[in-house]
Amino acid sequence: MSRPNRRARWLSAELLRVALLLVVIALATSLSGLLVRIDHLIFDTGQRLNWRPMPADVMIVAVDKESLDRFGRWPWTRTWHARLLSKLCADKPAAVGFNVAFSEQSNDPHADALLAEAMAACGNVVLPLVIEFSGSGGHVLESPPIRELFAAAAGIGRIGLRLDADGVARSVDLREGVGAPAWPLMASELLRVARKLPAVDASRVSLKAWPVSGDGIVRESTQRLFFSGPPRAVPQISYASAFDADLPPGTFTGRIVLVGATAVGLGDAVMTPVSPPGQPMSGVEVQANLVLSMRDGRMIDDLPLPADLLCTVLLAAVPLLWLPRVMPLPGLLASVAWILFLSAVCGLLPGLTQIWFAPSGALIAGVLAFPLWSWRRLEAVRRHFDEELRELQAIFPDRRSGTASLTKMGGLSFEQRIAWVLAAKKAMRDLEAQRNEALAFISHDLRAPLASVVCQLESETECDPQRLLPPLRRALAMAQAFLWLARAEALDRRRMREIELTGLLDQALDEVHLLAERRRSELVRCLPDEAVWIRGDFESIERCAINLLDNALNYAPPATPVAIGLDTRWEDGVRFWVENEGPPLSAEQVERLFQQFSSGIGEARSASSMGLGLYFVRKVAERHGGQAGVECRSGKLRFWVSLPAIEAGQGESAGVGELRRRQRESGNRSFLS
Amino acid sequence: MRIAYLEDEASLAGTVTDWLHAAGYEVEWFSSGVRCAQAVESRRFDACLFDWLVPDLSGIDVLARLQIKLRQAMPPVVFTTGRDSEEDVVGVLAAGADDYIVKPLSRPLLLARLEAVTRRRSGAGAAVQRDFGRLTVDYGRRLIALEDELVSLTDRETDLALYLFKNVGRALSREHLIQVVWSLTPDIDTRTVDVHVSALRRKLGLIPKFGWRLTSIYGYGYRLERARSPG
Repeated sequence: MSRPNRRARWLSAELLRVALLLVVIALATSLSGLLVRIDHLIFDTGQRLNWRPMPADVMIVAVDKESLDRFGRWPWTRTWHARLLSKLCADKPAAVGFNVAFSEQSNDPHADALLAEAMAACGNVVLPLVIEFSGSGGHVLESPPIRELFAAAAGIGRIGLRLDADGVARSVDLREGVGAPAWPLMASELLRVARKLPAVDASRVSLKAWPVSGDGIVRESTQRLFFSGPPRAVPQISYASAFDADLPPGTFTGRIVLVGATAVGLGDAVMTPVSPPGQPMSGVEVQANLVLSMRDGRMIDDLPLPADLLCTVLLAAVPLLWLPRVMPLPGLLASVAWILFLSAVCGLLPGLTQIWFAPSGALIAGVLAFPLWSWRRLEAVRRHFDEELRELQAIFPDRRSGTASLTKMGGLSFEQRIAWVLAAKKAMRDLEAQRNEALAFISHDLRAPLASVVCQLESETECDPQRLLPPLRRALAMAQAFLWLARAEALDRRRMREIELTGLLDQALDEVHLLAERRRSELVRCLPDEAVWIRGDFESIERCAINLLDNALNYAPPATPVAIGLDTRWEDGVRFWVENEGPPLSAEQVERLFQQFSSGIGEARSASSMGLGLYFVRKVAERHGGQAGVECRSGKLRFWVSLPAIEAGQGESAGVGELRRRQRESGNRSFLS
Repeated sequence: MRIAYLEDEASLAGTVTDWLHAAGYEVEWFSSGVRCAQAVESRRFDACLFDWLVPDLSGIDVLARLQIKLRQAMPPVVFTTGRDSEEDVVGVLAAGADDYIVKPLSRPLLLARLEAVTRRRSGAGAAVQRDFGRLTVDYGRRLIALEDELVSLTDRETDLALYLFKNVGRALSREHLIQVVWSLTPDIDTRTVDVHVSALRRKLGLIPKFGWRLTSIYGYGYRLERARSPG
């Protein structure tokens, strides 16, 4: 499979996985309400950003501090309420709502009668009904106004709000009651009485016969309020001012008037989305906002659950539209921008379209998308990195970190991996340097013998083939040496097989037999009788042994013995060596000996003495994870090559399976060819 | 003895043809793989000498085509190749060639290889007893003597030695040796072959000093041949 294909497949698989993870996280967050505070924050911020100019047709007659100073401690006698009402009604308001619960008889029955009379005279007074938990037994009670007032009221409605877990009032139930959702809100009753109810809401509020079931609270049609402004934004007139009748006529005409307490510590103040910290909104003002909200058709619906979940799922996956396409930094910026954008849209949506979508699930997915995707991408990069490293290690086996780190790749830190790559890069540069050196070498040393032959052939005189042969042989041997070297450079440890070392060395001995006879040198065989197995490349190791024997025969004084031997236990592997008599080498000579184009010890210039021979030996040893070196001891030079032992467990694997594989391969080949 | 010689390089072909003529072979030279294949299909040749790289149809392709057409009547094939890497050599042998020679060609080696492959075909080597200088091989009694003294060998070693001596100069694959020598032993390891070959080299002195070379052909197999005399 080609790389781009594999990458595309990886990408789509990863995308799917990350998308699924994000969707699950988003749904879990959304359904569990874990981050509902974030939803509240966004909703509240949106409410504050959406202030509208306050309409003047709703007014509050406020029981404020001034009124308390004037009339004394609350509650006041209902005679005053009756008087206030008479004054208000004289000004012809559209409707009057008392945010005061008259659910118990006062001490003065006469005052109750007066109030009832005033209400009846007005004909557009709406009284509240409170649904409350009784102190004992957890029963829920509906507390309507006392009978006289109930009869005189134009409408009865609830003033209850719904408080969220954080104690903030954001929504109301349009209908609620014990056993059946029988009671509308006081706000909607006020609007009905004032004939300002929007057409849509009229059907909702129309009274039906509710089937009564049980004695628990039954609620219906929860909606969120839209607050028109912060606390004290609704026009207010002090109760005392209204009472003392020093207001110009027409102050209340055509308006909906709400009477209720605003003084601190009195009445039912609650926290609202628009209240600054520590400044709750008085109950009567919330009612005023509710009236405005309902009248203007600005009540906010929550998105229905299926649609909400669908939106969450879709929005959760949105960051994956850009993350796979861009680099990390733009990805991060885009993610941040997305989160801000989503928050802003969700915050402003209720004010604009009367729909609320709780975005915490989609937001948390937006926050996590970048780290999650970056993590997956980093993993993929690491895998790719490791794969490349493995290949690099196979190409550049290194004694220091060779076989060990191949298996322990997982334990490497990123820095170590980077160090590895840097090492590989350096090796590449070295290779390039070597190539240049090789080119220089070829253009000079290889050219020389060929040029001499051409020169001889071009000369007028008849030339002797015997004189042409040696330079040609030299050039050929050199070309061959280069070929071997190129092969050694390309040795791949993964493709090496088990080979038998004693047989190989015997074969190398056979190869140099003729040369030894010519030099009258005795070849001494110090090889063990048993088989010695290693993993390696037969041809190049054989060539190593031949090169070493060749060198030894060339540099040993004539008629002195040359020995070849094998140490089956050498450090953690095996070692073979070739020994000849000769003068000891200086450290500098030893250093130069295994370099690529050193010209060996003496002046003889055969291919192997061009330095290529020993350099080849070193290369092959290194490629096998071994080493090459030389020891000088008591008038003898011993060149050696150490090779790692075969790893345990590999010995058996090359048995039957190997044979079958080879048979199969050779079978296939003859069939195909 | 007629030899089909496929080689696209005319000067080299001339030299080799001269060598073969001098050695008493009849040679027909082809520079085109297609024509060579057609000729070998229609007329009888005793051996083929193919170059690997020929412009129109490579030696390997000719070999494959002939194997399909001629089957049992296929003459032995020796390959000449400039490529001496293990992969290439083993590839040639596995494709069905009888032997190979790496260029530059040497005259004695070429003649020795051709002789080895044609001798086998003519059924030589069926003698009951043969004398190989220091070694005497008695095929009938399955005994091998070194300087008139019996060498003590295991049964398998004897089988292997007798088979190698019957096929001097031939490239024999490990798998082939396993089939011939270890036919009755199932699941034999190729390493066993290596171990036995090493033992034979040691016990019978199959080294150049005594006129023998026992060569491993990379990962493919072995060849027992007479060492070329010095000079």
